Amino acid sequence: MSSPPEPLSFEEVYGQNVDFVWRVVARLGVRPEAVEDVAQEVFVVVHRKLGEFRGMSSIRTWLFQIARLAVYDHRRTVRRKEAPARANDREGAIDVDGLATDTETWPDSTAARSEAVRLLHAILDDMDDEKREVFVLAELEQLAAPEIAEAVGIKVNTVYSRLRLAREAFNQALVRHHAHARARDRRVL
Amino acid sequence: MTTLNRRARALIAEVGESDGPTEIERARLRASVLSRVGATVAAGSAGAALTAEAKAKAAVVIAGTGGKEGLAGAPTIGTASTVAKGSLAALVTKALVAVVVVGVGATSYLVTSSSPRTAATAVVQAPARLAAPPGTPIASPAVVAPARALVAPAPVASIVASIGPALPLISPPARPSNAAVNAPLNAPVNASATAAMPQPSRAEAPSLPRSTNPAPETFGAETDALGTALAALRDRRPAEALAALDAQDSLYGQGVLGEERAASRIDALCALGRRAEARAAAARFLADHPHSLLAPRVAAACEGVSSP
Repeated sequence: MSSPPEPLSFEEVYGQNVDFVWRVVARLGVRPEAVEDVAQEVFVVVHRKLGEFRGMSSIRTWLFQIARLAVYDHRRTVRRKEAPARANDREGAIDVDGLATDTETWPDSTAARSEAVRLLHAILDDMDDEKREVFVLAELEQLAAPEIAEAVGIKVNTVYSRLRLAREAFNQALVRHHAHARARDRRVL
Repeated sequence: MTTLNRRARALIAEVGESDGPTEIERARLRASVLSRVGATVAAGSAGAALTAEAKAKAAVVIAGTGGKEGLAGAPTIGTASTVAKGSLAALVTKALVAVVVVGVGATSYLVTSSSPRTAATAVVQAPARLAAPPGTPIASPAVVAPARALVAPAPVASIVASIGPALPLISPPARPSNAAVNAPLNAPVNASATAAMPQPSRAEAPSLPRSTNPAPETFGAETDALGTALAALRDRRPAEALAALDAQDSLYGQGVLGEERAASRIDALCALGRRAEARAAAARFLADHPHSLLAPRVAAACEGVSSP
């Protein structure tokens, strides 16, 4: 990978990556109403540190590292404020199994899409952070394994092993969710 | 290698990028970030500005006031505060609203913030030197530009610290409510504080420049108002956006988001097909703010905009 000779401007970085950062923040477990604040922290840091970004890694790898730290920092803060019983969950976390959503019959509407988002995020919430990070980068953001290894600070082999476990967890969570949905439908009928 | 099953792939495809930001969220976030980093009055590169900021003579005011609910960006901006060692700690223990001003020379930039629960008031004079970055020509924007407060809320400070070499930030307390315990003590602004006692209403340091210093509630309102104009632009109501921007200029003057409004006005003019005006406004903008973070966007104004 060759280093870009021209330093990136904040405008460029923001414009091309704000959606990525926003999604990563949301997908790593920041509740919707706090995503903007955490993203703000990320980009304030980006603004300050951009001069130090030398293109040694991809910009998304670098941004992910910052976003990840911001998310974990935020979650620690939230955790301190929350009751201990809810400490490990996204505030107001959703029960994946109980989500009243049938993924096969979603109409193409905003409301339905947001149901899909809720389900996706709820499943991610049930994963531990190690699997979740790798899953988000690999399956949702389509980063390559070496990039993920760099972003998360692990070996490529570890990326693959975590991804395998994450996929299994994701598959199983969806199976459980649909089983519950079917059971609920039967009760309704 | 385990693969995702059909339902999993369907769910991921369904979500796609729909959990990303809306256009208004993008714009609001951008405005918040720019106001946090002082870009609305910025000149010079971020790096040069940072050096100047870090060395700036700082007058820091942590002012308590009844914050206004619903300020855009307030939860995050609202955590900013700068705390001196020991002597100030007791005073800021309950301070959840911070108004932070760094004044250099005749100009200043203000970072405001607010929070619903506030109590304490304190004024800190932090001795530090303003020094231009080495080799900076004396007339360069980095020197003559208003110095900006670089006051990071705890998350930023810790993030910065953990991803690279320590930056000479003015570090805030980890939690405003626990400033006494958690204030980073290695802040380069080694403030010898003169602290005012808590007062029931907002304290204002008499020596503070007032040029662009909105009250916290004003900043929130200004941000909200800009959001309204941006929403009108997004919804292809450029005339409405233009009227809103004019009204905001009358209300806030340059304010905190003056540059944002100027850039948005150019977009509105483009959308209205008033290209000559847009280009003239863009030229003025680039002359006035050659180093603005918005300059690339303004320079590209009217590109790709079809006439109505």
